[in-house]
Amino acid sequence: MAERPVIAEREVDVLVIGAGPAGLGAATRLAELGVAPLVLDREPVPGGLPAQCEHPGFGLWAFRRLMAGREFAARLVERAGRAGVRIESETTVLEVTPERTVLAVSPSGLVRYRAQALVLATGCRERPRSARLVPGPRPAGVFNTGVVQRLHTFLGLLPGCEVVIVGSDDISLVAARTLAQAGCRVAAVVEERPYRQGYLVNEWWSLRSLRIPLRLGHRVLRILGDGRVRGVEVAPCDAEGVPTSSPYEIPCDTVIFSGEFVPEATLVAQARIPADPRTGGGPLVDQDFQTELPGIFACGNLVHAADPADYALADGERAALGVWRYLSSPPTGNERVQQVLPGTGVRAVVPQRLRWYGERLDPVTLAVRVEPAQRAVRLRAVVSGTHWGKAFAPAAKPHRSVYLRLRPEGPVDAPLTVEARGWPFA
Amino acid sequence: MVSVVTAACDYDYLVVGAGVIGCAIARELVRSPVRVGVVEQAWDVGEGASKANSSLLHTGFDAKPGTREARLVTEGWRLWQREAPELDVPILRTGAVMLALDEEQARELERWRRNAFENGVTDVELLARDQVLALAPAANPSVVGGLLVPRESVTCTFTATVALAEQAAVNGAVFHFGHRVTGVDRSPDGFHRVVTDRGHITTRWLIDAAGLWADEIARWAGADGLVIAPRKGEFLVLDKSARAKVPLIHLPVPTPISKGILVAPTANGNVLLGPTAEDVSDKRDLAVTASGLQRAREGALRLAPALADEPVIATYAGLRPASPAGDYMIEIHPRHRLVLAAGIRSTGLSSAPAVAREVVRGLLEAGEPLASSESPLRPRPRRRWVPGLPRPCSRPELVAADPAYGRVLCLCELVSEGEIRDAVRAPIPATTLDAVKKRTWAMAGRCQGFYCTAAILQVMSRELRIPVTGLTKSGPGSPVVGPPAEPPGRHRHG
Repeated sequence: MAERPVIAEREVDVLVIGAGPAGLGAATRLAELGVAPLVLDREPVPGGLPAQCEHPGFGLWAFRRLMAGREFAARLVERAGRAGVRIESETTVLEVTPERTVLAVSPSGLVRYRAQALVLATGCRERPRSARLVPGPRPAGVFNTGVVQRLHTFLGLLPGCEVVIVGSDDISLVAARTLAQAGCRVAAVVEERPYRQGYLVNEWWSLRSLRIPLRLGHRVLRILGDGRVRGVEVAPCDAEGVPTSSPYEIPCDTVIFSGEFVPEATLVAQARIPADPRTGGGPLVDQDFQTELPGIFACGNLVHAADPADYALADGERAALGVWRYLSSPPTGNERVQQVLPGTGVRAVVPQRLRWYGERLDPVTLAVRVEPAQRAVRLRAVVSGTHWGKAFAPAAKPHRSVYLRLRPEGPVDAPLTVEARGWPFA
Repeated sequence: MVSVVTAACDYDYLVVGAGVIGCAIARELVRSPVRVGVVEQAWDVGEGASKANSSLLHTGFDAKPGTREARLVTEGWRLWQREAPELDVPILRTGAVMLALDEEQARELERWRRNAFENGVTDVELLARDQVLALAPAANPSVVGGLLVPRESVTCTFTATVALAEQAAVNGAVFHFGHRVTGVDRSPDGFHRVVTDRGHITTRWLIDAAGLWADEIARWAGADGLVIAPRKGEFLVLDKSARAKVPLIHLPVPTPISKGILVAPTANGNVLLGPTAEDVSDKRDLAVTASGLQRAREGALRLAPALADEPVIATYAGLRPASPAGDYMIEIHPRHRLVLAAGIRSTGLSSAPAVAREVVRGLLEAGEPLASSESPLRPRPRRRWVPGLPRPCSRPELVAADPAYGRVLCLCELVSEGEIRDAVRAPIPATTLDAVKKRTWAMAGRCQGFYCTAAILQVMSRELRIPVTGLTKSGPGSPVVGPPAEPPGRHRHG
């Protein structure tokens, strides 16, 4: 009689979930430190979201030159392989427990891993049309940018012929350019806010050079069409999103809802890892990207969706040091923990905790999300009235982090508050 | 028994409309050795009112006593309990609580209790405030009392409709999808000749289960006077994090106009808010509106304010085929050889098996030689997954037997390649993206297809042997993607 298949059990030192820049950054650095990590990835091709990006803009920090997302991803995978990292592709994690067991499935079966340390690097995704509560019927031809990138990169297909892109994040601007060059007519890029979200250079490179109109302060009121999208109804609107003049129709057969990234935090919620609603549900982490559950780390765009891939990679490398420290000298639990809180003009700060192992901190860079968008922003880290660090940014917008580096010593007795003061945007 | 038909027509019985009612009638008819056809304008079963409702299995406690609706919903509830396991239709017996938010509503509860008794639902129970809050922790703290209906249940309208249709098909019913009926006339032999945009179908009996379009079909077939008025309902779906807060169905105290906006768990572990009730004129108006969604949300949050922060993952609108008569219209016209099963509103999912039996009873009375409703049916192929039960990817024996169940494509709902393949190869094949979604819930989770749409299209393309560019969301006229991209290098400006 055939043996009844069971769930295989495996012990690993470090298990990394997600082979994007953050996961690969962590795994490669750990391998270099002499720890053998195993990376699980659900895609047939590892590399994370950059692997589906054909546009340039990646790799300046890691490889000292700009390259396409695909090449960047391939290089990260290759570098990880050389360092001795094992990657299991087409493997989906079904369950994570606070005790660091992980149930995963792949075509070769189910495996339950027991790990000394766990790194969650599951990245982020865009909010779909339905979650944005956009009215109208539900025809074919409504996409997120991520789906469009996959259709284009992996299947060589366009989403449609006439496109309206909703959102003006860098990913939206670049998508407009990619689609226009691949044969679409991009009728407009529509942005509800009164200012462009992405970089100015990107507006010039992606839109102006191809004469693609950018409609700032415009809102999509309705999607039109029965079988397939026939157009969108848009109107200029005020800061609250209330139309200020009569709506008009932009004919198109494709609407792409772009940007508005949220963490892919399904496993975080399922394992009941304490999360930060201010980051959209990413886990609370300390400066080593350790969550509130000992031995479980989380890094990259899972904790601050969505910053550029290079930052996710840097997160991963920093998390690797934390994992290494955790494995080599397990925490006593007596470390002092200092809270990091958003103050005036700030929506969220990552990390949300500082964990003091001695009198000094290893270098810490805070990723700060402002609210609302500001120009000439002065960032300050303050502990009960005392300044501990400061930074300046020419401009800061809520969807992307600005950074503040802390000095290695500072007052520990009270929570650290981060404030942002600048001029209002447009 | 020998078929009574001469060969001069295509079918003995042709059902117009492959909604839950049409499919249930077809399944009931194929118990007898007769030729049964189903004609449907959409490209899948359950694309009309059966697609967008609250998926509740009603006991009938709140129906108007003495009506046909009250009788058939009560009977339908019992039949579903018996048939559901074999059909792989999930039933969650969550129970429902009707919440009285002020003293006036509290007085109404007693009236609804009596109403339930009159309909034979005798296990209802009046609850004090504390009892309500113990059962429904997310309920509005200002609730003053409630009425518990323990047998009110949750099912899945997609799974139910597909299962009924599959069993009908396995037992010989022929489905004609994408056939829009444009008229009904008589053939020279005296049969109904159903004119569609894709040719004629002749039948001895015509069974009108066309939902929103039942009035047009009836008029063409010779029965005047039926009017169907579409009433729109808009819904919001919350992510699974909300489910723990909603252990049972929360009902408002109904008004004379509508049953009102409810909060209900779904069989798949989400929470549903809605529906609104708005009379509209256009039978194809399935648009969600800003005001409708806001009303649905506000109404639901009045019952359960604790759901305010739960993320919305999907929205949809459905049209109920209401008739001004206020009751089901199930009529047998032997002279016209016409059956009407019309005016079946939001309770149709609950009553469908009973409506089907009612139709067969009527046909027997009209002298049709049909078999008893206890004659056995051939079973349909079992499903690998039923909403609410573990996915194949979490079952080691299934993954070991077939690696395709280990290749997870939809991350949010954990749908494997094997399930997509099974949906395409089922007795009623899923040929559109919506049909795959309906059978597997792929792309129906919190990311709504961000990760998986491209991969699912590839599997469908392979299984259906058509290129991805030929795949549609809901049939011709709804292509999912555009043309192939131009090779890089051309149009290089900027």
